[in-house]
Parts: sequence; C-alpha cells; structure tokens
Amino acid sequence: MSAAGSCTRVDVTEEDFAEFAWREGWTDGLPVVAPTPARVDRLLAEVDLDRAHVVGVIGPRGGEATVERIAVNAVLAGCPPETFPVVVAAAGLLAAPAMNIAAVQATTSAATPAIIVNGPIRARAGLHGGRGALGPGYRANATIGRAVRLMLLNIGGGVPDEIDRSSHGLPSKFGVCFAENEEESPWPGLAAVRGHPGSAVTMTSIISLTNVRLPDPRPGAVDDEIAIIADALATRGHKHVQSGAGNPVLVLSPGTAAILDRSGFDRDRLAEAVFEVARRDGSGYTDQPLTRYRREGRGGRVLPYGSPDDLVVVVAGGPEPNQALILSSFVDSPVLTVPIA
Amino acid sequence: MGAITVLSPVAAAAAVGVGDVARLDGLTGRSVAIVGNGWRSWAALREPIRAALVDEHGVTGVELFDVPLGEPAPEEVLRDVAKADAAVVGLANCGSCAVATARNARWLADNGVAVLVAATQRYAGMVASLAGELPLVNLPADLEQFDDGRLATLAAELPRQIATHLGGRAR
Repeated sequence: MSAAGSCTRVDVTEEDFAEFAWREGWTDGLPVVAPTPARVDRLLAEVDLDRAHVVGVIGPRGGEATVERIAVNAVLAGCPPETFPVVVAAAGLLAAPAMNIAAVQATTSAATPAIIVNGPIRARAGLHGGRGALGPGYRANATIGRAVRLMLLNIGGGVPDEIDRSSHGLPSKFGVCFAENEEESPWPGLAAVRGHPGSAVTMTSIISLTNVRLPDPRPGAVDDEIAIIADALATRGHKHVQSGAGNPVLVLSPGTAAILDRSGFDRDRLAEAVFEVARRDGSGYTDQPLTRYRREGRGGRVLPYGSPDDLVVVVAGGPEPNQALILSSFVDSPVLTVPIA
Repeated sequence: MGAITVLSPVAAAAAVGVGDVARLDGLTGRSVAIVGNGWRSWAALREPIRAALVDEHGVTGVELFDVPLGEPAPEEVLRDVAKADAAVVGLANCGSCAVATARNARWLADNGVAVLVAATQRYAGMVASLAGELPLVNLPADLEQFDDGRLATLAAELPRQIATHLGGRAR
C-alpha cells in the first residue's frame, strides 16, 4: 500500500477499467493500463523525488504535475518503469513558461511537443534511434510520447474540441519521442552541442512532419540534396516561413549525415548551407495581418526562419543515405533542453 | 475479475476568477485601453470604437495596444494597459489567441482593471472556461471574413455594447 499522495483514488471493477477510463476522459482514445498503486510505485522508485513534489504546472488548466501524477499518466500510457526519468524531464519542459504549452495545446493549427533524447539514458530506457525511430514498434518511444500526450490532457486540460481547437488534429499528437542515433552519427549529439553532454531531453513543438526523399547523394556532390532539403523547409505553408521564425527540425538518416560529413559539412556548416539556399525571391510573397515574412532588408529575399542557428539538426533513422524528415515549427514555442537527473 | 483501486491522472484546474471584477459606474472622464493581437477585423474596428467612446461616451482618452497573437503579452505591456481605467481585450478568434487573450484579460482583471473580452462565437466559451467570469462581447464567428461595409455596421453597434458591459452609459 503506498503512502498518501496527490492523486484521488478510485475503486473500479478491473474488467470495466478500459470503459471507465474512456468515460472519465483519461485517454487519447486508445486503451490504457490501469494505474494501480503498485504500478505507480514501480515508476516512482526510478527517481529520487518525493511523490508529492510539484515538477511544475501545465497549461492552460494550470494543473499541478506532481511526481505521483506524472507517474499515474505514465502508467496509463504503458511506460516501463525505466522510462520514468525521461517522462519526468519531459513534464518539466511542458511546464516551462517559455514552452508556451497553453498555446501549443489550444492552437487551431496542429501543434504537439516533439521529444529527442540523448545520452546514456537512451539505452537504459530502451529508447530507439535507428530505423523507424519515429514510427511504431518501439515501446519506450511510443509510451513516453504517449505519456506526454496524456499529461497534456489530464494535467494541462487539453481536451479535444474544448481546449484543443486543432482544426484537423495530427497523428503526431499521439506522441513524438525518439532517441538521437549517436552511435551512427558523425557529429556530436544534439544535447551535447546545446550544452548538456550527458543524458538529456530536448523538446520543441512541431506542426507537421514531411518525409524528404534525397537522390542517393555521393560524397562531394551534395548540392542537389541541400537544395531539396532547403525546398522542403522553405515551403510557404510552413508557419516558420510565414513568420520568419521558429525552430524547424531536420532529421537526417545516419547514412545521409555520413555523406554530408564526408562532403565537408558538420552541423553548423550544413545549417548555413541550407539556410542560404532556402532564401526565396520575395516577389509574390504578400504580408497579411497574421503572416509577416521576414526579409533580408527592404524588398529582399524571404528567409525560411530567423537564422541558420534556428534549424535543429538531429540524426536518427535507418542507415540509408537518401532519407530525411522535416518537422516544421509551431514557432510560438522554443527549443529547450534539460539534463536528466 | 475483482475490484481494483486506481489513481486518477487528472489535476484540478488552477483557481481563476475568484475575485470581483472591477466595474465602472460610468465612462465619462475615464480612460480606456483597447488591446489587439493582429486580427485584421479587430484592427479595423478599434479606430471607430475609439472615436465613438470619446465622442459619445465621454471617455477622455483611448490608447491602442498591440500584443502577440499566440502567447501572453509581456507583463510590462500589461502594466501599461493597466494604467487605463478599463480595457477591451481582443481578439479571441483562434485556439492559441483565445488562451492568450484569456490570460491577458485575467491578469488585468486581477490588477483592478475593468475588463471586457472580445471573442468570436467559437471561442467565447473557451475564454470563459479559462478566464473565469469576465464580461465578454460575443462577435460573429465569421468576423474575419467581413468586408468593410459589414465592419462599419458592426463598428456602429459595438461602442454601445462595450460601454454597457464596462458599466458606462451613453450620454
């Protein structure tokens, strides 16, 4: 029997639990695991935090993300205990005022947090950064991403059609969490370059995912690949283009990153090259009240986002040298990285 | 299968709207701030509203403020807005801007300003759920599609509604 915590206890018939959870609005529409005290305690044992400790409040409801409540949502999502430190770190990022999560939750677009994990915690938590890292089949990736969604729902109040006003929704709202494939990347890990060389979680809010097929690049001859990536980033429908701001994410397969590296591109040089090519002739780009293109001076080229440094480059996926993925930016939400205790 | 005990994942909402909302006993001699966030329709309505509040309702000064669409206004901006006796805060016309508008309005109400929220019909309930019991002027859902003529018609009606909500009386 666990000690008294912050969460209300409810008695329910085990066979009725799935229906009960659905009726109570606890779920994302899929079945959930019953958060019994014993299951919750198994997750709590993974962190050195008091169960009543408030990690933060999640908007717009302003509900308190206590360690216990985070664990309850993680159990619901199906998280194995060893993933719990990642979930707690993610909860802290959801609660960070800079993350502007209330707007992410409510926007009429389709924004959702994306989580990238670096460092030794990846192996311990069972996180996957290889083939299919953003797809189905990997328990830690799927359940951590789902735990984030359930926290947004149950703690932050992001109830669909009430607070969540996304016109179309987005499959990614079920959860986006993956590990960087540091072992096969030619470059230092994302979190390390952001000042956290150990285990760390990086979060930003995205509004779409676009697969980018590259024409089998060869070392030393990657102009086409950079142009194609730039085209995908500079599409006018992206909010980051319409505001000249935000932090789009470029996910490169390890094979693609390796060829770029052998062609003389590190992360920074690649970001600069992509930014240069992604600038567009501004004629025909008309500012509207809610669309303000950023230009290089008066009448100059339209920028795809603020600066090369704003592009988040991460390596994940299978070894193929011709695959990339672009996660476009919600804009009104930054990139934040925190170490995992 | 028997009974099991489970823990609820749901957090209670933070308390909002627990205090009284300031209400004026008239607009004559008062100052009013009108807060906008980039929507074309609301930007077009603010100027005729300003003129009517001064000409027809005795308001001594109306100042217009522009705030971000998708995030709460910086507190220094809200402090400037709060120098007015009353504020009309808009426009809640999308999910993220409804959240931001609710936050801005609640901050002003909690700091003693007589507040009126401007929201389109789809977002009025959302603002109410987030900001508590604040006066609200409910605008057409398709406001952003209004042409100049329809905006002018609405602009002729709105100042009286605003004055009534804020506690003022037409002279």
